[in-house]
Amino acid sequence: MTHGFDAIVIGAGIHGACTAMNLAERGLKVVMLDKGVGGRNSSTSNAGGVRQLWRHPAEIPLALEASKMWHNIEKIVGDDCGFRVSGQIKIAESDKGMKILEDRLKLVKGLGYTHEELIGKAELKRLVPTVSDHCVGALIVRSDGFASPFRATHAFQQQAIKNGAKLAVCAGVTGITKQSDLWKVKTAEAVYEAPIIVNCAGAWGDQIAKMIGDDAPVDPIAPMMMVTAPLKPFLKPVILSATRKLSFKQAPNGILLIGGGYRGRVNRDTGETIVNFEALKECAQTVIDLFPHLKTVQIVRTWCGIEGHTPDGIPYIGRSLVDPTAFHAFAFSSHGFQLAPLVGKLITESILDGRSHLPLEPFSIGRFQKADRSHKE
Amino acid sequence: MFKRNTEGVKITFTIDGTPSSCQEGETVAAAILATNPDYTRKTTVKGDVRAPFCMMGACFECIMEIDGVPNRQACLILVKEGMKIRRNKLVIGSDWA
Amino acid sequence: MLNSEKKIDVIVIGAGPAGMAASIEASRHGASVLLLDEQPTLGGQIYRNIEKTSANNPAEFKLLGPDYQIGLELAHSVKNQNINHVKGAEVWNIEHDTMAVFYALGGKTYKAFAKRIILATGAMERSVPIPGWTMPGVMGVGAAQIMLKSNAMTPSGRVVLAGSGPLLLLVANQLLESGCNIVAILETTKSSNYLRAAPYLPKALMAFTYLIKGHKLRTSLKRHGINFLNGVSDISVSGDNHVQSISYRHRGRVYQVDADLLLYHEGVVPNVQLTRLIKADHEWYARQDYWRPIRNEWGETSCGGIFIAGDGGGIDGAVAAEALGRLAAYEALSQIGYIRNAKRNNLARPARKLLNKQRRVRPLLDILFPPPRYAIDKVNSDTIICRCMEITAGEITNAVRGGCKTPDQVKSYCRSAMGPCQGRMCGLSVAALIAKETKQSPLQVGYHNIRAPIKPIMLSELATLEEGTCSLEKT
Repeated sequence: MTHGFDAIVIGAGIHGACTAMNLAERGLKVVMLDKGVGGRNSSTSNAGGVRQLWRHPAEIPLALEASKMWHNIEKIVGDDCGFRVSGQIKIAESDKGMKILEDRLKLVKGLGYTHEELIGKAELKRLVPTVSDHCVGALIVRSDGFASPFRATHAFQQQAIKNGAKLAVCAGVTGITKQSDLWKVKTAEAVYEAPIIVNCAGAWGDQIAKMIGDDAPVDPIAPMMMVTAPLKPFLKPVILSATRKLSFKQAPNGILLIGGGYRGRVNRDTGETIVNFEALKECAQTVIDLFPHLKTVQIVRTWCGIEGHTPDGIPYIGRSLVDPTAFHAFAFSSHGFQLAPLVGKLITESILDGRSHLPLEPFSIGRFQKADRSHKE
Repeated sequence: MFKRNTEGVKITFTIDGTPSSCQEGETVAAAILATNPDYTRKTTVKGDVRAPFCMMGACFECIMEIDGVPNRQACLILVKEGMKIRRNKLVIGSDWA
Repeated sequence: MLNSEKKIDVIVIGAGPAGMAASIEASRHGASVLLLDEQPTLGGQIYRNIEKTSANNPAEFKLLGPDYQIGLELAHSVKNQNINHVKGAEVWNIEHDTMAVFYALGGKTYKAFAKRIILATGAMERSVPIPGWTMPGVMGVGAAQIMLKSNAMTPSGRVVLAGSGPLLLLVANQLLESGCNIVAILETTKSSNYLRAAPYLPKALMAFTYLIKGHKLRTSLKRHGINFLNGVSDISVSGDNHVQSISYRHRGRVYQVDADLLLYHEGVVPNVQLTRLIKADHEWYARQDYWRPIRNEWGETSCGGIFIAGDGGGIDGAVAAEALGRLAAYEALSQIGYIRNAKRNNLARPARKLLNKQRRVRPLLDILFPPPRYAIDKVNSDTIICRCMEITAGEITNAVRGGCKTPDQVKSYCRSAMGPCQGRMCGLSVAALIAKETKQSPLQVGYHNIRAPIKPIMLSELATLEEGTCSLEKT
């Protein structure tokens, strides 16, 4: 079936699925179109961090509310998604690092937020007994945690379907046109029609946006992850570093998940990614510097996801600039997982109520259209 | 499970702290198969007992801690005098998707 | 001392017959060669420990027979050619676009660059998931042969051998001659296979040699009064943390035999970890239910400059492997520029003749010893399929019923193939289960996506990654 839909959602990863779930819950007939099976590139291959810590100021109000939703996730999607409240900690290894954390705390407090907390060496050692002795302190959000990306994405997809949304897989979008109030979205097999479209196409979102008529730059990158053999449980919080790239956690089954934004190589057109081991070498050394006892731990798997990054590192969320019946939620720049339960709701509010209850202006699809296109490395 | 048929240079090692011996030229996995008990590890999810299956580096049933380094494939490593071999007995379950 | 200079002409991975032969030929014609192997001694699987066994254990050398002894010459040639053979080197990644081989050795990792790469990583025993197959005391028949060849050890208790294929009978005889207590041999081959194989007999010039060999082995075993049955099915293992008894069906009745060791064998399959890693094209060989990399007449894969020689490209046996190693070397030499095409063709002629002769018996063997479809067709839902992660057939079937259509989707859903073996033991079984549930062929279902590291590496090893190779003296 390709007609009779009220909304077409392009992309069935966690953002597309959550959007479809919310729209369907409010009675719309929705179809999700995905070029694969939904969530393969980013939603199921990320580190699973559920983080309010160190968010861009524009994202903080969204992250705070999304966090409450994560603490209640089973009521939302009927699955606990493997969510653990573990705390997230950003560690300083020296005075230089502490200064960075102190400045951040000042900024956040100045904006009226109290969720981030500075801790000293004693408290750090109490929370993370095995961390190297040279570490001097950290910034922490105790209500943060992590979840299983696969389980969460799958749960949102299933809940969307339970609410009545349809899912078309292997249905990559090749063209979009509008004909008298109806969007016509073309795939290899069919043309889907609906009065509303939502672009949740992740690292390919700029291509879809262009078909709609919006111009929004996206840099596709391939962040890498490493996974180790299982270890005796020794680490509860998620570990980040104030001065180095690192994101590092121990899952309930004992394995370590190590990331931090180290980049592999990606060909967006073929979907092919190549792991860059020279970069992972640095990542491995960072882990050893912070946790010397992990020297002999074995890496059993590595992979790359494909993420869309924007020039300022925050996503595109909200209404199209060229057509009031088109909406966007993509390019979450490697940190969209935690925001997912909320963003779908905000988009649905924008669509059905004319506005969302949290400000989306900083995420405007058009914010780069007049400015210089070049972005930092 | 297995027995030796030749005389050779004796090598001593410890397995989980217990002294044992084998012959020069044997792999750690083979030496364990001639020891009692002759299992190499317990599985991390259910704690099932496992022993070598393929002896050639494909099955990973022989992974053991050798001289402090965990998860080494014992069928690929020759026993050396004084080696400290430990079995993986960590059982954690699979509590995550 | 580290040599991080120019590219090595040919990096050969695997020191079995194919790898040894390729190294020798490449080196003989002037190429620089680096031979990487994870085992502590030359020989691969078939010629395991050949140098030490021939030197130190003449009785055993004789027992292992002429098929083993011919490996000695290859091993001697590797030494005589002074080939840079790195023992205990674990290759964990290959990058096709940069022709880089990453390997771990002695606590460090190295990235060596090659002009041409010859993979000679061979085959492994096919996994046959029967009830109880994961308990201590169940091993592959090849494993028992490795105990004999590398460690001069034999089973101490009651042994049952089961399955089918030439290796089963060969090892049964070798164990018998070593004084083992074999209490039963349970062949799953049906005698009707011989009828089906009959049309292939005339073409298989070597068939008579095989059949005579097989007949001799059978007679010898029967003469010792061993309970030797064929057409056996429904084999299962029971015991409390160790094999205690084997149950089986024969001519409609169920029997049990007490045992301490079950040696199971249903053929060998190519080890495709490296060819899958480099994303070479593969084809499904339906006669034997395995994937093999597509290669041209020189063994070059679809990844230009990377060759596969020996059983890693398809099961042809040890003698064929030697010929294939030579052919790959000649083409590599020609591509690099050491020899011209005309010389390459001349050199290749005897190798090709040998290869074709060896291959003529293959269709016969494939029909005589078909793949054990019974294992998946009649699988119990609580039989473990993924040994590393302890995932059962039932869990995999549920994943398929939950919407998973490919091995990687099943992997995401229930964690199969996420353990250290990376699907070596379960890849074909998982795909066969999906095929059964979705009524497709394994060809349509596909295989797991294989990624580096194909063998686990320590954080400290990764942290020491450097370009170049270790020097010869270091090993």
